[in-house]
Amino acid sequence: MTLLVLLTAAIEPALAQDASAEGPEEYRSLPGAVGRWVDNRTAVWVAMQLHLMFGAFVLGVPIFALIVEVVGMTTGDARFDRLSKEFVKLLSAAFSTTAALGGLSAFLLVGLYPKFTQHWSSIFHKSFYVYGLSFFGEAFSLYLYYYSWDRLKGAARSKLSGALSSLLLWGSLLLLLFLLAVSLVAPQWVDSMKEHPGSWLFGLMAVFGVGQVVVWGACGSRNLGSLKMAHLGLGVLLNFFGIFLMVLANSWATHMMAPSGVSPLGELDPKLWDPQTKKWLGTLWQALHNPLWAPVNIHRLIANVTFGGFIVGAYAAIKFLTSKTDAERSHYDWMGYVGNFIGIASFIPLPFAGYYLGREVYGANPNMGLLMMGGGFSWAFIIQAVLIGIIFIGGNYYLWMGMQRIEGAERYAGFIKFINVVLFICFAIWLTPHNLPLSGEERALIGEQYHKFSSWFGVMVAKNAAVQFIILSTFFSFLLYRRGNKSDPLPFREQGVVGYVTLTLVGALCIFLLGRYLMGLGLEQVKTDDEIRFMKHLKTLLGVQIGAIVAAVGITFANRGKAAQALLFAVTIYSAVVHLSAVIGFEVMAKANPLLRVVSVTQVLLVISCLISVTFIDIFLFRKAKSVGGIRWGQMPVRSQYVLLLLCITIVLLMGLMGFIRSGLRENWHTIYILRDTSATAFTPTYTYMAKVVALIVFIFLALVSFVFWLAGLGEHGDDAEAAPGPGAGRMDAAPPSGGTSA
Amino acid sequence: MNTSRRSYLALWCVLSLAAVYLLMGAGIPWLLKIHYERTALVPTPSTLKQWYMALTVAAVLVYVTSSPKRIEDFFSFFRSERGEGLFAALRFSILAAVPLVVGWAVYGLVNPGTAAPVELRIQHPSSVPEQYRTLTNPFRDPTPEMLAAFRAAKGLDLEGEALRAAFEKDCIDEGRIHYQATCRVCHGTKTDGNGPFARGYRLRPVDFTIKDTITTIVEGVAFWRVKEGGSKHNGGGGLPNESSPWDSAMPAWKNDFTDEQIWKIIMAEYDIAHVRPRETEKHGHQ
Repeated sequence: MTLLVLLTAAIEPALAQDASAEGPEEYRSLPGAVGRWVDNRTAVWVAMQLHLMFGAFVLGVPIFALIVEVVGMTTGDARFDRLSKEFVKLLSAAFSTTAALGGLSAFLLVGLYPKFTQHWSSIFHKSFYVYGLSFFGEAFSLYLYYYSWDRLKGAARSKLSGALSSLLLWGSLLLLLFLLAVSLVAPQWVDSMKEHPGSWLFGLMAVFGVGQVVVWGACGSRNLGSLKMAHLGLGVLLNFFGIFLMVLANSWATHMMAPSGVSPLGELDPKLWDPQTKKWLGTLWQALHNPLWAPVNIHRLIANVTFGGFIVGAYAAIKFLTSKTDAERSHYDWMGYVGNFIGIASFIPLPFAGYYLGREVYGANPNMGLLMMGGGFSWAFIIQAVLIGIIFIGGNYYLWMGMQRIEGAERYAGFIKFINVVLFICFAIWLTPHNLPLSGEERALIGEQYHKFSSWFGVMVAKNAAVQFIILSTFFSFLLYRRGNKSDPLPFREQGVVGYVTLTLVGALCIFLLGRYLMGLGLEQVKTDDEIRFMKHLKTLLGVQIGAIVAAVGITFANRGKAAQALLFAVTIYSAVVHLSAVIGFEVMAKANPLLRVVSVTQVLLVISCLISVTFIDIFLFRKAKSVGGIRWGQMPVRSQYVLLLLCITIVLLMGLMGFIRSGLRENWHTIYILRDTSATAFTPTYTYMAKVVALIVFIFLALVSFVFWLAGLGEHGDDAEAAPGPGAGRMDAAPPSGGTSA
Repeated sequence: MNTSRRSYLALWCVLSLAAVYLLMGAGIPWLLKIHYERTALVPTPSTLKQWYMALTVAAVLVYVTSSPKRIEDFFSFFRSERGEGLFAALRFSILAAVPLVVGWAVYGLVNPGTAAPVELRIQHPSSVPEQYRTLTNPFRDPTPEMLAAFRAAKGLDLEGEALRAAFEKDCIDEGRIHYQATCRVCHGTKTDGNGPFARGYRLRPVDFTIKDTITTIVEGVAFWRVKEGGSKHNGGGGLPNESSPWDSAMPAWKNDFTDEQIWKIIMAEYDIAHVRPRETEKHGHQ
């Protein structure tokens, strides 16, 4: 995952130089015949996008591999450990390809765009060294993590190793407490540290410490003496380096889209930029901390997990289709299920992150926002809508087919038709463009700019409501799958103190999230009567949601958990889907558009609080509940495996498309308002050309990843698939038995 | 033989497809005609009709194939042992309808017609000239000097917000005069796109009062459209090439109005339409 750096920087439909700058060479061409056939932009575009895709896989997989390993540790079930190791085996194989592509991308960029790289490195060169060194950390922690898998398990054999384990834990805890104390006592010191080179190391250690403590906390004190704890520590380290590298590289790319110190209207902050020469005067931190950095970080982090999940799912599907024994089929069916679960579960919050990024694009540069959603790139978002729809529907379809292998799940089959209808109606709305191809006759008969479908469904208010409903419906599918083979819930008191305390805390957390935002919505922030009216609506909706959560927790304690879930679903669907679109959403758009941001945040909070509350209610609803049947792992129709392959191809296409959009939005600028692209390929390519290049990238990526996975399997002895048995349930933690059926 | 209620699944699927088709082709056009008091049906765009039908077919396929039992239920309808009489007639009708519908669709696709080609409209052309991207309306946030000059010119004894409000009202009033004198004939007195000339155009003037037109753009873009106009043949820069199939008849006003007057006309347009321009958002990174 080498230079994730350029990764983004150069998915580049447009790279080049500033008209004002002077220098020897602005651009070079690829040598010989290659240069006549492949232009600079396409070369960098393909290399960077491939690097980005491999990088996403290499960064996404360690996140859930670690989680699966922790699950194995806490449940004491060795099959999870083996599954996690299988994930990391794929990672290990893909790592060097990622690095090679990063090197190729960097060389292409430096070779073909000398003036741009000069400008770019003049601002960021200090971070390059940190990046390079951190890459060693990533490489070594990955290989340590993978190759020490079998060594670091069981009880510590010496006092020294036990002490080291404890030191890691208590050291991390002490570090966190120290940082907390410092930030409370002397916040100005923490602020000033941003510019201090040593503070980077300090901050990084803090992040690492948090990761350690979370993992150690999850594993419990009983495992403290185990060497496995040290192995988990390596997993944290691997994730830490991976995320750090991604975050650093993201800032280079987002700098090109929205550099710090440049206002939405292109005015330069004289403290950060020399207005004449456009030379950077600020610090490295100021350059890194540009307006789109945080939203891109969040969006990519989640997307990488989704990407990794679906790639793993496809790997399992291929293995399933080529399995020769029931045990193999059982194992890879389970692995495919876990891959799909990870992919869809992380895909659910992705629209929230995407919308946040979109809002920030509008905030950083409104014209770029218009170009993105209503201008030249708007049709790329229609393609995006199709791909996202395929992923949600494909994920649900796989779950519904999976319910066939769960004994008892037929009780919930009746819901599927309704979920299906909701998904497709929402998909239709999500897909409807604002700008629509029309014939001359249609234009004449419609008699106005937009047909009503486009006018109502083609705007973000409707699309946001649709996607919230899709998310809630997909979540509902998960709930049905989960309870597939469970009998009726036990009385809540059977859950003991843990149930009461946890549910109360979860309710309190949701109320805190909603309440904090509600308290911040002061009427003094708004100016017009309309804005005041809409603000009151929003406050009421947040208040009602808080009330619903309190009521739901109470109802659950009174042994009516399903009613509590129904209540939360009903309130959330009304508030987030109906009220914030049909009742006031469109009006806000016309009369108080600055409030759209508040509307969308409210919408997200309502849905998230519902997802969290309902999930925990569900956990305690069916915890310890009797199983009415097992799961027949391995007994899935062949078409379900092709759905996994479809999901994989779709997510790769989606990532290719989004790479084009993100980079293309800069149009004829390398760095917006700072460095102009004066190359021959400064224009935005046509959709046809984009489609060809993205298709080529997807084809190469899938071919490479297949080759790499094939390489990884060369040394296999066929014993991996023997991992399995155990009690089955419709959850991720329900591993299959060796015979294929659990009871 | 499957005697459960599910055995009618195939029938439900066919009915669903027919219902969506009829809704798109007749139901919605009729409802829109009634609701918006039109003289003719408002057709569903053919592109959307195709998409929605494709989605309906996909929905049916997804549902039917989501379990072996549903597949069995679906095909059981077509087995001869299912029944005689009306049931058999229904089954025969559906089976006969499939090739007929496919044939009809193929005929529609290959039959040469005389219709104008379908054109894509881009609401916000991608290439807004750069000089307009960074413009802001100077009268929205007047400087103290502008306010002082205004107060002196009008002989007002106002301060602070009151002065600012009077300034804004004055700008809008001036803009209204220009608007009613020049823009009204097309865009209408109420900015609803219903001016006396509106019906004479192939592309009707924009209705500013609805939620998805001028509220979605910043004022700099509105300024560009007013100043340069829609066509390259009427004295302005016009729309970029990508919008050429939709060349509008909007004149370029740069030779008739000063920039200040155009900004005031834009303020008046938003005011009459009771909507607000998209505002540049503040973010705390600078």
